Amino acid sequence: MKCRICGKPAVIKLRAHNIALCPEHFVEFVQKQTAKAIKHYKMFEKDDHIAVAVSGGKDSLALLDILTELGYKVSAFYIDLGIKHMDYSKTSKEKAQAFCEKKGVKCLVYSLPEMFGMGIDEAARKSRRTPCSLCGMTKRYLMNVAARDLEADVIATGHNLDDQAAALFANLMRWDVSYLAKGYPVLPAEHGFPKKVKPLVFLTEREIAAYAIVRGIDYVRYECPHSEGARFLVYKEHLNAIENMSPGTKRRFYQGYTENIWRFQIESPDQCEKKDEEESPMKPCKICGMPTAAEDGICSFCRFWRPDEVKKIKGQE
Amino acid sequence: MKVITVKINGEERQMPAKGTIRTLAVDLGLNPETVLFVVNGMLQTEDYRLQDGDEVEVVSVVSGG
Repeated sequence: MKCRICGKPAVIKLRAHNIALCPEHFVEFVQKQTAKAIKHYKMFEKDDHIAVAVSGGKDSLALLDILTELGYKVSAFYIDLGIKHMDYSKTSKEKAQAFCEKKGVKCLVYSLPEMFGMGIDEAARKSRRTPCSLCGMTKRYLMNVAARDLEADVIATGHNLDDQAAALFANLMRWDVSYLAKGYPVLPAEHGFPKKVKPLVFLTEREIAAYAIVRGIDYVRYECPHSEGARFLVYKEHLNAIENMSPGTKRRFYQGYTENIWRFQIESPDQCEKKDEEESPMKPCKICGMPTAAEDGICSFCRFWRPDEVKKIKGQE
Repeated sequence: MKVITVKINGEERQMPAKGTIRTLAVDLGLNPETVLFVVNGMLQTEDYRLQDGDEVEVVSVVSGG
């Protein structure tokens, strides 16, 4: 197979685009697709400071590589969840830090074991919560802290087309209208939280993994032990089966949704009523100062991770 | 039938000579949308004809999100 552009040996065939490309033109293709998504969804401008959430995986490290190659002002942060199984967090941190160093990008590390003396697994066991729900809450909070510490204008994550299409598929299966209204690849800054964007939404996982291989990016090849057997993977598997029969389906599915998202943003009278009841003004958390809507003024992160300080505050009241 | 020996993720496997990555993917029951094939350290397209002694890494591209 030859590269459609230069005729040199191709390393990848992109069936959804009906092209085969050599390493040089494939790298160019990936970077152009990312630049196109940034522009199309008005994610950020050239002079914005972008904080990239790096996990040591292919997507986030590829994103860091692409944004620096496109000339953006980038910093990074890594959240160490303290997952000991197969040295998952240790290896991920090493890969993330090594790549940031190679690219000359500053990388802040937020380590749960160092901050709180335990990782996500131990915390989940003690609280009888699932590691994934605890991880989601913890990462969302620390991402906002990182943006504040880095004085960044926007947080960029490595979510790709497959992630977005699978989430859309899952939310449609449940007709979860509140999530269907929020699946856009840009979440605006609000309530004191920074803007969050997903610049890889035009690219499939396969394209990003190929980019990482071609660019020689050393990423963690194995998965978080908690994601094994996750329902999310089943949705991806089904979408990939359809994609194999009909290339371009994932792209049409997700991009069509972003063009029609307004249909899900019209709230029914019931939802408006519920929203009025639920919405309370944001105020700074009494412990950490981050914005929270909690009635008692203590954010969910501090409530979970800083129980001694919660007791102290409650005792003073 | 002439056969060749290739290494797939470190394990030796025999397959018909003139076999390609596409035929290997079918033999392994893999959806080509979910994997990449790195042969002797180089990413290769599905029409790559495998040679005796090739070392193939099947890279899964699907992650848990």
